[in-house]
Amino acid sequence: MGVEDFPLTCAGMFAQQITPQTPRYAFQLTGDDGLGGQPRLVPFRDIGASKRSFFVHAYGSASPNTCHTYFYNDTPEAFSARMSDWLTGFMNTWKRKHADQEAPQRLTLWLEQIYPERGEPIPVLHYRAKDKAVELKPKVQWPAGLVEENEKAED
Amino acid sequence: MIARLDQAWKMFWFKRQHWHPLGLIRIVLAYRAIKRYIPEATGFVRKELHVDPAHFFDNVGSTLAIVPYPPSQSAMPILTYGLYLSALLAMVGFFTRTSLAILGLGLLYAYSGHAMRVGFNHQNAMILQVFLILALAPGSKAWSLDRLLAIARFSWKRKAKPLQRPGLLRIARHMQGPAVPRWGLQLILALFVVVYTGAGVSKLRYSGYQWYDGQTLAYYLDGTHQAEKKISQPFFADPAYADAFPWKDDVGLVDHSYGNYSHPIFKEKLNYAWFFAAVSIATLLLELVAIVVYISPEIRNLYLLSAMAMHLSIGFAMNLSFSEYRLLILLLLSYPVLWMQITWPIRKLLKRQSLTPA
Repeated sequence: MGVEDFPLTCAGMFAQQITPQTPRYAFQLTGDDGLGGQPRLVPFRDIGASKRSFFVHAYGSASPNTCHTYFYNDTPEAFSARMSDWLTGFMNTWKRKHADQEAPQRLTLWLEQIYPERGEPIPVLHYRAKDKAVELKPKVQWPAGLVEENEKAED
Repeated sequence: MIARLDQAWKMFWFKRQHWHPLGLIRIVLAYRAIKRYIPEATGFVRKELHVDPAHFFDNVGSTLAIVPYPPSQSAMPILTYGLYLSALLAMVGFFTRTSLAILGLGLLYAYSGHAMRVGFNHQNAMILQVFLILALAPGSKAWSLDRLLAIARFSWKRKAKPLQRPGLLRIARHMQGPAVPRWGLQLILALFVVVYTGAGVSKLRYSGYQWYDGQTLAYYLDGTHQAEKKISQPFFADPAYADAFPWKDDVGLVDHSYGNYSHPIFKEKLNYAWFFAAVSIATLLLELVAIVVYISPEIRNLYLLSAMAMHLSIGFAMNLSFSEYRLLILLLLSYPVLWMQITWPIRKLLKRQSLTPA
């Protein structure tokens, strides 16, 4: 009850309270060769996936008060497994779609504060394509000179 | 008391209706399927063909549709032409129920795949449920080829000539068919009631009574949500949950926000807290009382027209047209009753004049 599951809906569009003071963030995904090479942006839209879908099915809300997914009794292991599954699917699809390009060996998921002020993206996790392992909160910094992914917000 | 309740319950679902709109709904929505839903749905599926199956998550739709997602490339023509054929047959009413069931399940399959990886299409979720209701409900074969063939078969067997004096009303009565239990129409109305009431309850559930203050509406209308233009899909956080999962992030990410268009008038001329609060309260009240559609055809008309006004306002303010909801509203209005409602003041005036002594 209270969670959207197609085609059943609790019609929670625009139902969450947001004020001008509410902080807002954006996900960024970068990829590199895992050997210290220059990272590059790997946009979600490259494989047609939406960040909403990623949030709903894999990331999960921090609050149980949501019409999208809240994973009760979530643990670092369960979260890592979900992230590994989602990013493995992401990478497999990316390779199918970009067969002529070299695939990144390591992905980094970032969370960037965009409101009320812009902040330096903070690393959420590393994903290694070789063994599908996930490392939470890696100690890395946003690559200098890399511009964040800019695209139109989804309606 | 229990006997009366039982009687009321039976009347609610099984009272017989002769002039119901199910035939019209079937024809219009099947036509709409050919023009819009099928190209859109198959377009979504085609884009997903290259996606790794592990990237899809089950939902109710995919579970009901059974067939694994995404389909193979070779299955695409079967899906596409199967949907077009079923929509065409549903529209003319040949093998009506089978066609409606295939159309409903096919769209359920295609749109649920899209919902797994991209987004939940609320309008089409409702439409495909209408197709599934029509596949079962008595009366959906009204104005169909099936009905015409049944009349011809009946005439041939009985050597009767039901259309011997084919007046328009007589033909219409035959094509409309016998009076049927009204549960099909009640179920379609229930889809509306559940979605609208759900929208109202969700606002109270996820925001409490704060939704009344109009700040959320103001956020989406006065341009605040577009402050970070061109930023990829924003998510909002609640600092109260910053420590909920410290190994994940330290910000308490709660949900996504929307990137809708907002009409400049709300930023430039109507940027008043009282205005947004008033519209919020009106919206909430309208959504929460959706169940009144069952009281009488007159109240159903008034409610549906109010909902239409709400959707038109949202279309103007946010460029979210809700065209399929509006189409369903037009199909569910009771037009004889609406005519009586519109002409009521004129009739009253004429009656008063006729009673006035010369």
